[in-house]
Amino acid sequence: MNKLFLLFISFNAFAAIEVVTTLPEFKWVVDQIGKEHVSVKSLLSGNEDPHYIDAVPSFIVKSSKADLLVKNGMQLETGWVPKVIQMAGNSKIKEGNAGHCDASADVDKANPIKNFNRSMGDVHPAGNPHYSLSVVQMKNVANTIFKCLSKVSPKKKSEFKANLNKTISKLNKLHKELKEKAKGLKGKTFMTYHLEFVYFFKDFGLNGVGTLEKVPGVLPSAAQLLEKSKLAKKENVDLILASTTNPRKYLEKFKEITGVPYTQLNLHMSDKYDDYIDYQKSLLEEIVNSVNQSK
Amino acid sequence: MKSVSVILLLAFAIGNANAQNNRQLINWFAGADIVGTANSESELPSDAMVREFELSANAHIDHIWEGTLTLSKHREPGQEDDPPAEVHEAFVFSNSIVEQGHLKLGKFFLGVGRLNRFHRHDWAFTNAPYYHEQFFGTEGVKDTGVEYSKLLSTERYINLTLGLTNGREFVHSHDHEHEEETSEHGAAHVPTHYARLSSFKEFSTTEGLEYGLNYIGRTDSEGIKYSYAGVDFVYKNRVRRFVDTLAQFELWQRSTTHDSENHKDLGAYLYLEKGMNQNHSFGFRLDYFKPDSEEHDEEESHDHEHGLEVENELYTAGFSYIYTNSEFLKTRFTVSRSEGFVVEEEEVGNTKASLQLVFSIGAHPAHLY
Repeated sequence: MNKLFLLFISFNAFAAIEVVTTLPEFKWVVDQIGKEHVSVKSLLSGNEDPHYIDAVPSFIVKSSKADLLVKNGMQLETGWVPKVIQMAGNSKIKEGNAGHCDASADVDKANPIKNFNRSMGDVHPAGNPHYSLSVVQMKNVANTIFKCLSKVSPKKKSEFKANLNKTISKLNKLHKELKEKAKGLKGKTFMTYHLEFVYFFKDFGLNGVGTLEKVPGVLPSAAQLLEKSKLAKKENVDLILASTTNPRKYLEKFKEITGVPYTQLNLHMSDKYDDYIDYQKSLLEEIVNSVNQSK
Repeated sequence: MKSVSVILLLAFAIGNANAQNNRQLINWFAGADIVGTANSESELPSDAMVREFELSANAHIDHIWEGTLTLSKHREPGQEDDPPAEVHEAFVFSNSIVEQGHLKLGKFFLGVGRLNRFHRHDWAFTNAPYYHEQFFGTEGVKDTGVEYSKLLSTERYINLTLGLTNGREFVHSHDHEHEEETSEHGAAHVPTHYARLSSFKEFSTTEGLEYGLNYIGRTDSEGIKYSYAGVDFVYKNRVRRFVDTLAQFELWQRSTTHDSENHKDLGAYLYLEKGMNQNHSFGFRLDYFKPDSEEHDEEESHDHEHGLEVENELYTAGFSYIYTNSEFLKTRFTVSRSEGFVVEEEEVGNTKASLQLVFSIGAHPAHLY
């Protein structure tokens, strides 16, 4: 009987922490810090626009058994994550409980809005939520995820801490390497379709001068595109950066008006990448190549 | 006048409560559904009106329960009187009592089928199919009772919902005559009991098929036994920021037993929608209804929107154009043709055109799939 009890105890001691993340970038961070102590699934594959997702029943099943849910926060997933949590019926991952982790907790939030209403479009009062493109902010994310994992499994805190340090070192090295590469982009001017590159530009000191969208989340009208084209010409914009989920038709139209080329990038780690480091290198390389081709 | 006062009072309360929203985290929502309808058949009403006005509040009550209160005022096309506002929903909800389970207590729309689980202003189309009006009313069945839902411990999504409600309200109606009849008859002999078993097939994170099997049973105060069996599915493929393809289907059979006589009525619809971009989409719906007998239940047949009988079969085909200004404002234009109504013992057809404007302000809760 005692042996059985010991077996049960030891089995539980080795049971991995079940984690679900909304974005694949966070899955990578959880894997880096939790290592063999975690089993992680990302709800999204990285090819979607996380603003516009349904509370898919398969997300509910995955979340129903999780010990920890890691979300982007800052209202990015406000249309679906609350419903997933509600329908999962898993008390561990409810807001306020140890298993609910808001990855934005330690992020240096850009552009928070105090007074807002729906006439401003799809704005995020807590600030721009697209921080996972930033290597610098991902260090803050790693710190938050370390705290979340330590709350769920306090006994492993020292192991998690050691892994956090290694992850931050990797990200520091990456940032240094990318900054070197981004030197080729100095003096170049960018516009974006949506406000998705704010943190990314800040990481590398790049010059972003505006968006094609006049109202966030709303398709720009012909008149608005024309107005933005004046800005593009005035600022001598070199390249438009957009997400693969942004509508190509509007980017083509803008290119037709202004002659400024565009590139559509995957703004989240898609299933092409297992490693955030590789993903970031590839992202910057695509931008550098697009700028070089635009010359 | 009384209902207007209630709504004004609630609106005033919202204004005052807004100041406290940040502390108490109350989600307030108000929505309106404005519909103009024209029918070629003169027996059917042509009208334009605010069909529905809804005020809703939702918040955590304590660490276990959430509460939802919804006050609604409805008026259907052709309805002469101005019905009072009514308590549409007043329920508490908890997902903290049983793991992977939810409990709902109070007054709510029954968690069965597809249309019945959504408020009408969230439907993919303007009007309910004819069979739905006959079986469940112009909106859906709401009643007071308890509903328990459990996510089964499987890798695949399988959800079981069971419910028991008092059976006093079944066909949701805003017709005074109907309400008087209901209260005269008193409580149902056998309360409304229902079940739904649903599952989901994921094709990708943005594409999937949800399907369900449904049952509802009830015996009314006159001893007429009703049972409803239905299947439903919804297929959705979201591309970037909009739903590229939507296919929605329901098939229901109603069985009515009274004095050892049994009648079976059958109804179904299939709705297909194709999105062009964030703003423009087109929908097509086919409806079918087949009554088993000429002997219709009067309590239900007089209060539906069409107001016309069907003796053999009814077919309806409708085409819609939907302009989505934003998530919170939609305009929908629909033209449909029905064949199979009976007027003065002759079969007639009807062409119907409707224009709908739906909008909401405040915090609408996240939707189910």
